[in-house]
Amino acid sequence: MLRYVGARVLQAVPVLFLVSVLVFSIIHLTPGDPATVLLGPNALPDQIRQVRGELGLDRPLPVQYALWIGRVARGDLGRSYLNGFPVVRLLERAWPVTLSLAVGALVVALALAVPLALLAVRYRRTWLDHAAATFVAVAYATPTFWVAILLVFVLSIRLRWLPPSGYAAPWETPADAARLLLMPSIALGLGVAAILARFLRATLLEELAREYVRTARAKGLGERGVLFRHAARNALVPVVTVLGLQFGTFMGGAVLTEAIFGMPGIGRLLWNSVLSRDYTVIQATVLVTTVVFVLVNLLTDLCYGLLDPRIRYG
Amino acid sequence: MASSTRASATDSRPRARPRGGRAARVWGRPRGAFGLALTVAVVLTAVLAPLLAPHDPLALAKDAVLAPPSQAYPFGTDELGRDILSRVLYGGRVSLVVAFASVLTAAVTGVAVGLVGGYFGRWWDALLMRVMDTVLAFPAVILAMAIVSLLGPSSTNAMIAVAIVSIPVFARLTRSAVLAEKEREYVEASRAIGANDLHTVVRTILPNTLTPVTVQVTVSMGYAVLLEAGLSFLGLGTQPPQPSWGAMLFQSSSYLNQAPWYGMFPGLFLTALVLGLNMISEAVQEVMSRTA
Repeated sequence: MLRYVGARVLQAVPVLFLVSVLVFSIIHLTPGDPATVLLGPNALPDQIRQVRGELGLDRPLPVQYALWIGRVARGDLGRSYLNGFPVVRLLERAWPVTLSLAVGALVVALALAVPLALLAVRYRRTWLDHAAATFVAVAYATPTFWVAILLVFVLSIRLRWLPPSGYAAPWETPADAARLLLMPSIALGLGVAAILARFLRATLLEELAREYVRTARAKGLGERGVLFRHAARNALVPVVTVLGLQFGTFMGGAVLTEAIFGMPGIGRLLWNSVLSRDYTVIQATVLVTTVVFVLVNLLTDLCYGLLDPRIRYG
Repeated sequence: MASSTRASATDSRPRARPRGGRAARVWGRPRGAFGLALTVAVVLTAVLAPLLAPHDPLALAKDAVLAPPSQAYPFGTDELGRDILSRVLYGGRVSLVVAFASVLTAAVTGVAVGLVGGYFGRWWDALLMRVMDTVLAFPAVILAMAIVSLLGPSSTNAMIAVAIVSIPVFARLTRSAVLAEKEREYVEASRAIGANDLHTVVRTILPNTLTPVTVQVTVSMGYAVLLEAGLSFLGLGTQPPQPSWGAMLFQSSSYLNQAPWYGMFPGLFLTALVLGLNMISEAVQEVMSRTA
């Protein structure tokens, strides 16, 4: 196991290095010199030279990269071009929002997908199975942002059950937070639920075709017992992997969801900074989300190796 | 959808079975037939937009702002009095062109990368695959947004962004297919009769790696349509006043109270297209996995 962990961690190192180089170059690929962008069009040449010196822009690129990565390692992600605010503070404020959205969506996805898959398998090839499959196909094809708009229309505007947008921290006002989080969680969780349900149905059917299921049936265990006590347990293991692999889709969906529901999360921070060309903030959000994504993938692989010994010796 | 029809048709020729080619078997499945019907319907409305649209998609009608569906405006009008039906029809063109062009670009680039990496191996392979891993390391939407932030928002740049995030899948698929084919006897035979590397790769190996690529093209199309719509929704794709489904949906969300029908039609068309493309890709995958 230790060797597997070591090998997998070593694989992630060159990827993280290349990611950091690409993210570093965002600033240098931008149209116009960062110092000019920072000072505006009316800056004097002397001012520009001074700021270039302060930012280290007059040094060779590899040196600039080394200085930048050193600052990143110490938790200094620079300041916003727009308002001079330290980017780390912006990220610190935005993460909990995105995290609560992610947890909410995950709960929705599991709560929808697991019963749907069990139902489809228990009543396979009946109209229930087909209805579940149709629901899954439509849910998978419907864009997150349209689901969000439909939810707001029905639940907020017509029925007036939920506030259309906003955010409250779950640890401060739990009731408000839950009401505000419900629609974004459904919008983001629905697509993941579709992927999960389809995958779970396939693995359940695979498990049901195995020898141990035949043994269980032979000793007289009913169909429900076979499904819940045996097949479901084994089929739930690979769900971890699917969720890990979907994390990237999750992050992308979070941008759109946060945009519609006015949630001040990472996605909205990235969106606003792209619209206002605030390149230090773009750089930092892209770096942080990607590093988290790489780490989640790494953890997923490690979990899978832990759960299934064939992977680590394969 | 012309793309996958053509792709599967040419692909099915060498291994045609007595009961018709693989393409015929794809359309023979309920899913394939339904997906094809849905996709063709949406594609036709986009292609025939100039004939079908009752109004100019950019024409403003000051006396009919946010008008409900009527005979003159079957889908109603938007906040500037533009006909929503005409904008939905024309918006489909942008979605389809961007999705098709980006998947084609990604497939060609990815296949080339996979062929070079898989065939030449060693440091070519190591270098190219690390680059592909790096592109895959970014969450797709976030990378696409970063690319658009550098190039500037436009439908062309959205297309480039969608293409870039779609390349690695094609490269990896082609590479593993090449690794499997490379050791086969027919490749050795081709080399033994004096074929050079280029000939071996392009004429001998490439045709035998196209099956997984064809399947991936159908999978990527639906995703590309969604990604383009997402970028346009965020204002990073197709720019106003040009119509696009994503941007229309974004605009409509401000008028849910006064004009609930506004977003309904771009949403329906978008979902129908993605659903149709996904159904086709599922039918293609089923047929391919049975014949493999």
